[in-house]
Amino acid sequence: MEKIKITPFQFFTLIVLLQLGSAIVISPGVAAKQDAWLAILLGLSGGVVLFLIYSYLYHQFPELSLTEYLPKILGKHLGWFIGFLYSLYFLYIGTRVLRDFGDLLVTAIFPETPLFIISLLMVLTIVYVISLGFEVLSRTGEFYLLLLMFIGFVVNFLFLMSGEVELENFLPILGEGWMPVVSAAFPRVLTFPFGEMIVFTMILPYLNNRKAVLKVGLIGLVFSGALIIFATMMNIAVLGIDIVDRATFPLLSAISKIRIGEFLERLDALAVISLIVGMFFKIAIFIYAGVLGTSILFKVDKYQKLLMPICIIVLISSVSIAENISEHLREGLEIVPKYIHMPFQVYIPLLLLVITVIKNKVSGNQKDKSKN
Amino acid sequence: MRLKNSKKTQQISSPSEQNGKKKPSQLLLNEGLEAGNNYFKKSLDQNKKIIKDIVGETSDLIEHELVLSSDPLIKGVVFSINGLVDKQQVGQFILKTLLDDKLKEKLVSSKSSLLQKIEKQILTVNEVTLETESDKTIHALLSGKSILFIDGIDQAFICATIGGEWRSVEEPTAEIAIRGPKDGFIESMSINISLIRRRIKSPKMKFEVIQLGKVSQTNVAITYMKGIANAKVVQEVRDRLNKIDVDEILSSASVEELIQDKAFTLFPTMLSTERPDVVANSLAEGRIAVIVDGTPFVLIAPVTFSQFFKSAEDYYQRPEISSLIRILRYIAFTLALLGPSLFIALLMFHQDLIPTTLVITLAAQREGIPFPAFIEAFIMEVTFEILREAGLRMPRAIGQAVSIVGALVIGQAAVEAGIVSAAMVIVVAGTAIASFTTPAYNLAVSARILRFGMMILAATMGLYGVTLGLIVLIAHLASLRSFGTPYLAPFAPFIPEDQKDGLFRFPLWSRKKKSILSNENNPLDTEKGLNATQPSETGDTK
Amino acid sequence: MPKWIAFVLSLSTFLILSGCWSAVELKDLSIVSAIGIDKLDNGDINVSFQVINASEVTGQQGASRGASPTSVFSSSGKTIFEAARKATKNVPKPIFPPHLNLVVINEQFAKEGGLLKTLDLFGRDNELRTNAQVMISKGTDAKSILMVQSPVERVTAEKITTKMENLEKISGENIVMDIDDVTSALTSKGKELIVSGIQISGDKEAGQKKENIQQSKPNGILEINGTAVFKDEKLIDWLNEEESKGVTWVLGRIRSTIDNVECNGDPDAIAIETLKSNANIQSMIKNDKPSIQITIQQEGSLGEVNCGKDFSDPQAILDTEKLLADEIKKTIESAISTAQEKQVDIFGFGDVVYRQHPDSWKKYESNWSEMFADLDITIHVQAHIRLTGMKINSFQHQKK
Repeated sequence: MEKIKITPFQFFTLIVLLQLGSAIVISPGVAAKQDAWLAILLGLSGGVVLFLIYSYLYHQFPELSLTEYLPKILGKHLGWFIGFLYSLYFLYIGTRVLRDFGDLLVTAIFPETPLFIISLLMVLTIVYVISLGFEVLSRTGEFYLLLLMFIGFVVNFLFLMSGEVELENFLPILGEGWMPVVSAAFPRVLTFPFGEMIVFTMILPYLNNRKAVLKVGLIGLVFSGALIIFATMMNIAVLGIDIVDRATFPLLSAISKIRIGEFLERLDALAVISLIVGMFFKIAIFIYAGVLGTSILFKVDKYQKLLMPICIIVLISSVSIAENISEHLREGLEIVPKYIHMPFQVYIPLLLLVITVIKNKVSGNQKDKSKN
Repeated sequence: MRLKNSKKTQQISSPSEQNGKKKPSQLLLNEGLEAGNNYFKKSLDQNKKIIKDIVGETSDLIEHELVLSSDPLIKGVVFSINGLVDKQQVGQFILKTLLDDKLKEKLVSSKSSLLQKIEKQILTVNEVTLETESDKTIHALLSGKSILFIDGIDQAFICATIGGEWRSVEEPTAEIAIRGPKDGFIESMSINISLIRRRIKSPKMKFEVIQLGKVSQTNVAITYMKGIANAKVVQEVRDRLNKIDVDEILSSASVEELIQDKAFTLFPTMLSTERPDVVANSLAEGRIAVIVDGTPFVLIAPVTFSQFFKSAEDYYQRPEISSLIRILRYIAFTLALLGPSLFIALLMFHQDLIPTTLVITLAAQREGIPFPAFIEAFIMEVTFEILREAGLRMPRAIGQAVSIVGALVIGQAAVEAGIVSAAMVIVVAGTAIASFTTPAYNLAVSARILRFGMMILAATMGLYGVTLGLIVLIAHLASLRSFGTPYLAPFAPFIPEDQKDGLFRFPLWSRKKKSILSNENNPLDTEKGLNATQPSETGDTK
Repeated sequence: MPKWIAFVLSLSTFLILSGCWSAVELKDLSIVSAIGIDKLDNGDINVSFQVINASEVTGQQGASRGASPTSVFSSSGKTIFEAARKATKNVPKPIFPPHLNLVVINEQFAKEGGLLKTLDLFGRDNELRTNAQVMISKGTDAKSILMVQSPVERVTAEKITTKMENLEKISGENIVMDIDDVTSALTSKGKELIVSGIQISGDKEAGQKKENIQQSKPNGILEINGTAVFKDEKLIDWLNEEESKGVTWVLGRIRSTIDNVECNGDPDAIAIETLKSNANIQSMIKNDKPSIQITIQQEGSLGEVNCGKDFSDPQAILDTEKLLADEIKKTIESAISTAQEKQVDIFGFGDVVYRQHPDSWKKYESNWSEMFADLDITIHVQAHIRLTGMKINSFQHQKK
């Protein structure tokens, strides 16, 4: 473990960046059509419950990260194995997000550039920044969150100015009943993006203010949830649900709609910059968590030593993970949430929670008995 | 006045002599002084020989033999260095008093020893110290003091008669403030110290003088406000300065180079200023100043990135105006850094992002241009850098001619000949002007260099390259520390209280607390940062 | 330190190796401003590109050769994509379509359902922006429209699109439809598509010559005329200007228009300029039968008064307001009756029902066209004359 401390604000920043990284690219919850906001809200409440579990586990072992306390709960070997799976899981998500990003950039902006080069440059940047330490990553995050907020403010202001916002796109509310909303929220919106908070179980011990974890975590989660709802609904208001549903990059399509006067048009660059920045932080946080987990499990003193090899693996697997974009998207939408996200984000933490609660009870009882 | 100040300096410097003085004396000894560190003898001739052997045959050594009294015969000699001493003082306060006719009576009549008589009753110079070792004496001599030997006394009288010609205190050339004070530092440390002292009349302000440079023996003063500046940072500055092991220190730039946190970075981690008001302000905020004798530039540490965008003028203008101008500076800096690269990215990759009317105009302009946009921009930027360099080093009259030729050649002829497009000239010129708005010259230089890197990124990967380059740049800045203080503070890490003098300047009445960055109650983990970035370790950081 | 150097080295190596895949010089691109799609007699599809000659448009000194500001290249093939590919062979430099702002589709082709085919292509290509306006060439082929040389604004496509935007604002007789609007109308079940038409008035051949722009009175000019109505993705009929305006009223897109009302027997004596309008459409379900209520709120000022009415009398204004409301209502009714006759819900009433009564909509969805035809529609128009211009009464009134 690095000897570093991050401030509660930096923790907040990282949460928001991690959550927004996804919201910029896709509009979560659009499976519920114009009721996306309800789906996101449901997903968010689920996410809050999950985070309560994570922070409870953290408070049991405030000095330790997930891969360190897993053996303490599950026993040495099983815990180590699950911890290893978690490291792989973080790297796998990093890989998937990298692929998402690469595909998007290739289709939207650089049609002739090989996917490999796009991903390579991103990975190189990530290697550089992570090698400077997690503190640097979080400070960079603070700077870029301010930038993204500024861009977001400008873009939304321009949306309103351009007169493209049509609030009637939100109607009807619950036209199909609750079913589509619930099925959009669980497991998809729950696991992506809100369940991804699991990655912070690796980072929580760095926080310099232990009491703030729960508060800041929840504030960050709710704040980013609100931003995601706002962003998604803005896309729907501007484009209409049909186009949002079909678009590969709804924000880009929405921004390209802005046309004020003869000059303020073609502001796609703002969407592209947000995309690159958001994705950078998302991938970087996951890769960091994965690399950190691996270095803890294999008792490597400096995680930097593992950084390069692991990143090369991530790069190569991100390119070869799927033959084409449709295959990749299908996996991402159907298989991954159910069979990968749910176990790692929900089932295992729940199991851990149950075990620790029982353990605490048992030991509490024993204490009581010994007292008697 | 000058004397008074130099006296103060000496007095204040005395505590530091324990850690500062030992080394120089040994160093001097090693410098091939075959005589070694001699102790003065009772014989005047021997003492004279010691001095002459060490200082050698040099024409600026003035030797003035005196006969204080013929009966009993008391001879003496005064050494001084031509040009470094105030000749009037030597004449009036040393020679005249010693050669006074009434002196004999004094010498004879009084009962106390000769040494005490001369020191306490005769010499009218306002600072006299006694010294028995030759190398310390010679250091004093070479600093401009006068040395008096009296036959029969095995000690040297060192009289503070520092003088000689200095540039007078003038308006600073590089940092100009319209409403601010007009005095600027000069090459004399004692005068520079007096300029600061006049602004802060607090006993908390300390000047610690040490000698740096094995050969040059330059006086370097560490200046801080005791109780306001973080003691750990002060100690760190002291330690780093003491680690300096070079032959000569001729300017503050070399000190900066030797004690900065990271060896390889384009960004300055110490602020250098020639304005006493800026130094006074920084000291009051808890920063530490390093004054180097012989340079009109004083170093300030720890500083943050935002510090380089503050000009002294900001505090003499209304806060609203200062805030707006500061924002303008940040925008201009971004332009100076990214202007050409964004233009290249748009022209080579993202033609769809340019408004239609503009794209038609640009396309029409570029129709006959033989180079790709990147090469064109590169040629223009290099030409501009050449012109700037040529204009800078030329005598002022020729410098103007250079700029006229440059403007005509680049601006007019190149466009008319169809070698570069008019739009590119506008972009490059705009960038150049934007780069002049950064108040700190050394930061503007970093932007100039990074601009080329960004241009290459833009030419290979367009906007993607530029954005990634910017992420790397910000991460690099975030990884920098200036004597423990994170370089991007107060933006990252975000410190709400310090926002009052960051991007904006809040009115003075609203700033109840001092900047928390550098003082004792610094919430940031400064100590850890210090350890992580000591100069000795910079060599092997990643 | 070696790590650091290795990083920089590797980065620069890859940058140099990666070398500008997608980079292209602006001067090596043919900027396309408009695309025209025709169907030939032999069933092939003809695609025409209007390419901008940048130096002619900007009138750069020296660079201009006195050539026409735009050139049209076209080619035909079995599919649109094939035709477009062939056409690029004729264009001297690679086609660069992101600055496209007009798509003209041949009337005949649109009648055979060509719009959908075209749009599919547009949706896939990342270089195409969906902001381009779509129009139907009326009475002529799309290629000829692109070939007309237009005075004042040098690029024809740009001229048309700016004109369209202005027309929508000042007359309300046309509706700007960009590719996204068209797609969403085509995919929506509760709304049928309408697209503006464009035609050449005057001498078609002469209009395509460069001399056309050198004359103070051009021989052939482009004219925006009529609104094409689509049903099941096929063009079925044209609305006239009056009916188009009715549609625009219902859609609430009128920003400024002139309506004439009767005064003292003269049917067009008073002209009223609308400054603001707002349409509110409510749907109601009674006895399982939907009905629509349209409320139009209009605010305007007197533009021209050619009769002796005394407008200092508030009653006169109230009377005129009533007349205006009737006038607007008549316009809207004509549009609605035409639409109902043809069973095309160009107003999007179906969408309104869907938004307000999603449950009932499921029942109507399948046979909405028939239901629309005998839909019960009530129209309320609230006309307000807020301003009387710079004077209150007309000269005729003062003479009395």
